[in-house]
Amino acid sequence: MKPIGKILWRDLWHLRGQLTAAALVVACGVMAQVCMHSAYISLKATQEKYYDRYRFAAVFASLKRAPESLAGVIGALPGVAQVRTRVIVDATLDIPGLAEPASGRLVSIPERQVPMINDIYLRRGRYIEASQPDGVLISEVFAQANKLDVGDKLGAILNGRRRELTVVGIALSPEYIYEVGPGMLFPDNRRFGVLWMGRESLATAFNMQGAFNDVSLTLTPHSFNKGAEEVEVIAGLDRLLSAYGGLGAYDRKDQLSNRFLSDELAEIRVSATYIPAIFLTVAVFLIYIVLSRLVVMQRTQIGLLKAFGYSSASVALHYLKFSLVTVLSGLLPGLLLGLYLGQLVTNLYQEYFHFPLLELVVSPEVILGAALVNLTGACAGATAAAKRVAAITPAEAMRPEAPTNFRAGVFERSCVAVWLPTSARMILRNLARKPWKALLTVLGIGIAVGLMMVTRFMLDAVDHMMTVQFDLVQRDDVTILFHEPRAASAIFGIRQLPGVSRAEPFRAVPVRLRHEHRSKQIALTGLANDSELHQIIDSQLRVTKVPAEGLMLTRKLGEILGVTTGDNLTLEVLEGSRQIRQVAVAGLSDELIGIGAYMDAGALAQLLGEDNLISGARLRVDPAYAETLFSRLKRIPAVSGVAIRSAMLGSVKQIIDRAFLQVSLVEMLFAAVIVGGMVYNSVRISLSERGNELASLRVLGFTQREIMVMLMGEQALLTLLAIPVGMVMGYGMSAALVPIFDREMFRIPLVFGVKSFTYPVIATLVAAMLSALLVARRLRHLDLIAVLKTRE
Amino acid sequence: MLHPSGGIEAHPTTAESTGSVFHVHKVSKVYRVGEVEVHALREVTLDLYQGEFAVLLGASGSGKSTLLNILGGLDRPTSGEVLYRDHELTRADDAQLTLFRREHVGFVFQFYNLIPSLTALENVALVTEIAAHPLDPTEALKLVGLGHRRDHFPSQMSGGEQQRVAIARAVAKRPDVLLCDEPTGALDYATGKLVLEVLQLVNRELGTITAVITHNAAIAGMADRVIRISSGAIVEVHRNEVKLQPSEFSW
Repeated sequence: MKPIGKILWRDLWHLRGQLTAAALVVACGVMAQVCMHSAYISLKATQEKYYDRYRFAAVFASLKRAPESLAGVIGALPGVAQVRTRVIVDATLDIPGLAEPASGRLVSIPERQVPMINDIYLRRGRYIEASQPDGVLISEVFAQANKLDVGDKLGAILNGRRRELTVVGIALSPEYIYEVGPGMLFPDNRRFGVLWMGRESLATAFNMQGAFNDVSLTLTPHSFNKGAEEVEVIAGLDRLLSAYGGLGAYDRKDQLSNRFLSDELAEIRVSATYIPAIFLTVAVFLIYIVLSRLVVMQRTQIGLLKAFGYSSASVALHYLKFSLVTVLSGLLPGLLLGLYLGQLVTNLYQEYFHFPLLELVVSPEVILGAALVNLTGACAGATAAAKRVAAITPAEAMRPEAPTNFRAGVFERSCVAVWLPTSARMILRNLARKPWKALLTVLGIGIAVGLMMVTRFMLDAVDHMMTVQFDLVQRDDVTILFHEPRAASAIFGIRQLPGVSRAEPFRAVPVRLRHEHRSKQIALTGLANDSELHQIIDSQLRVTKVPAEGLMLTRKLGEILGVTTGDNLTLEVLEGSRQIRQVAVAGLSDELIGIGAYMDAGALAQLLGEDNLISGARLRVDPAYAETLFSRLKRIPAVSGVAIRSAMLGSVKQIIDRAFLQVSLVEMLFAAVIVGGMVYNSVRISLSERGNELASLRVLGFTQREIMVMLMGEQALLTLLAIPVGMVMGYGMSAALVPIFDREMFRIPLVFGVKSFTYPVIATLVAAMLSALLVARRLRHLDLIAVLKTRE
Repeated sequence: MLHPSGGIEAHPTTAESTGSVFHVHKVSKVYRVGEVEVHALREVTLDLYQGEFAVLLGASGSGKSTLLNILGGLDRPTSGEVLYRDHELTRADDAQLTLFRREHVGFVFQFYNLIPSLTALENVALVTEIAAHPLDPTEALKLVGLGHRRDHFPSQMSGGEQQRVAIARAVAKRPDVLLCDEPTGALDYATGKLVLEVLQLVNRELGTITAVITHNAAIAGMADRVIRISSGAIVEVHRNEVKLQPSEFSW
């Protein structure tokens, strides 16, 4: 080995602590980058392949009922490639071992297996047979959640009649990758599942022979202007279906499962960019400060090497190698752990997004990309430090450096400074001497604090969202939905059910709202003036009433339609006689989950020209009677769906505990690595710069503890300063996330719980103290005797 | 009187040296450097008396620094006994030695070792803040003739001035003993003399035991006693009948 190479390895060994800290930060960044990027491309590739192979439709529409002959007319629309008509109904299910009634979506499939749009993947068992009309395929997650397998039976209320269905196979479909019930945000796989049943038997049960109530299309692949063509097809389809109770056609982006998956993909893409970027910036900064100090300490050596004839470039290269070794040693474990973590994340995704096969894609581009980005970053940090090498001339380097210049800062001239103990002045002046370094340290630690805060914020925001939704808006214990609107008197029967202490009827009708070129299909809900179990809130979380006239929209729906209070919009009822009216927007409400439109119950009845029909009821239930109520509900033919608050909250809590908490724990840990790395390196460098000074003070009779305060004081001050700075950054980053999560499905509010502040503070202080303690051990080994004889 | 061990025991005869403050008895110090054992001190016995100005003279490597370090509580002997008044330094732990240095010892280093981020006054104040009965830092600076430089930082002062600040810092806590390791080693001739004058002044005004180690034999003239060390042993103790002023000798 060349002598200069030996110097490299010895110095590397000497600086192992500080470079390890930088390498750890690199490792975390690479880990995050590889993990999230791999998860992203795996999910994306699997989605595309699955959609393609199982012919996921491009346009979807539901309707009341149309004759099968219409399918040919739809197929003739320009741009349409294939058409699949189906019968899809929601029904109440009675699952063995489950007290509450479950909801099932029954989707018709041909009696004989043929390739089709929205095809199914058969995991186990066999396809249905015409000879067995009660045979069904059930979705895999629903089967798993309820421990159902091929051969098991379950009860279902089909059009008012209880039937025993037999599971013949377990299946998956690209239409239900994210399997949630209507109006639900998080999956509850025990109480909602998809069932595929033979078209004949389903149609017979619901009097839909020779008819369909759902259609999905694929588009011709050769179109030049896909977007425009899609819009044309949707418009054409709507025209055709309007006579048959069409509820409005929509494309993939409004398809529920696809929407959740796409939102998730968009989200990881954002995180996969900004989180590694933060780590890389910190790593570059750490490498820069370690090398800058090294160059200062090795002035003499640099001068000597140059005097021997080594060129500035080769000496600079020598220092560049430090950063390369550092990055490479962080890169490898980072890559491996990133892939491992990517596997875990992919497994986690598999719990919520159901594919026949979701495997982690180990992409060379991702790995090379991470390597390249980090190596480039490190070189940038090292180059900045190595630049100084070129400036050192041999003769100058042999002379000792002049004593550092200090001045009394502005702060010190103020009257406060008089009261400061001398050791505090030392701390302040050391900070003032290198304001940039201090600033960058504050920013570095601050960003870690911010990262922790964002992590906690997400949890707090979801918590807040749930609290608002389930304490203020949806206050019922049980919501029941009828197949068909029923006479208002039906509520009396509901009130007689066991345990029901209050029952509020409601009317929900599918409508299309139009304003200028924008339109949205939505369920318009009629609310009684005295509604307690479902309330409307404003942005201050105050309960407001539905105005006697006009529409009340959720703010998000108002944004989508581009309307606000006072504007008029066109309301098109998609049921019954399909009236079209001009309605004024009378107010906006601020729910955080979903979008919706409300009207006074009386005004809605008047609008629809009907005599107080009801679509369902919201119940307050005495928990002691819940089981009895549930078993009764399972057998009420008119009920098509039951939503139970406690079950919903329970499944949400489980998801938050499993997924969110794990992820946030990892993120907290990563952020703590940044704090640790920053503090450790900062203190090590202070110790290296001021070791002599501190040893002199020990000789003068200062205790270990006193010099520790002098050494750490600077860092402690920076860390404490970084906390409020980090909180501001955390607030900013959280605020930046709010628009990303401003969706139809849900919106996260910019609210912070106490834990959003306490957790980052505690984690930061603990990480800072632990890494400072690592350095503090070195104070015990200060050479007091050498200091008497050496000159800094 | 030649001691059996080769060291020489000296007794005070002057009236102002009333009693032994440091008692060093048969102190040896052995370092291990790799495979080699270095005998830095060989059974040295020595007393330092109240108010005296002692110069420990020896070539580099003679062991004089080791002796000074042991006296100052920075190092422990391998064998033997060191008493400071009634404290047995040889048995003290690190915390006790720190306290000993803090309360009783003033150090002056060859390279001054001032804190660069503190002004002259603050460098002195840093020590007086932790002392029980210190001098006023301004008074201490005046004593070394630097009252007018109180607000200057080390980088703004000459070497001699820095060393005088270091002396002010060392004496400001009113130590019982002032230990100076080659205090003029880094200074030019004229400045060196100035610093020695300050040391003499402090010794005279405050009555602090002052031990200066040096390889510069000329300095010996200003001492009450000259203790010559060679190869880890005291080879000669000489008492000056007449103490010279630094202006009266040269090197």
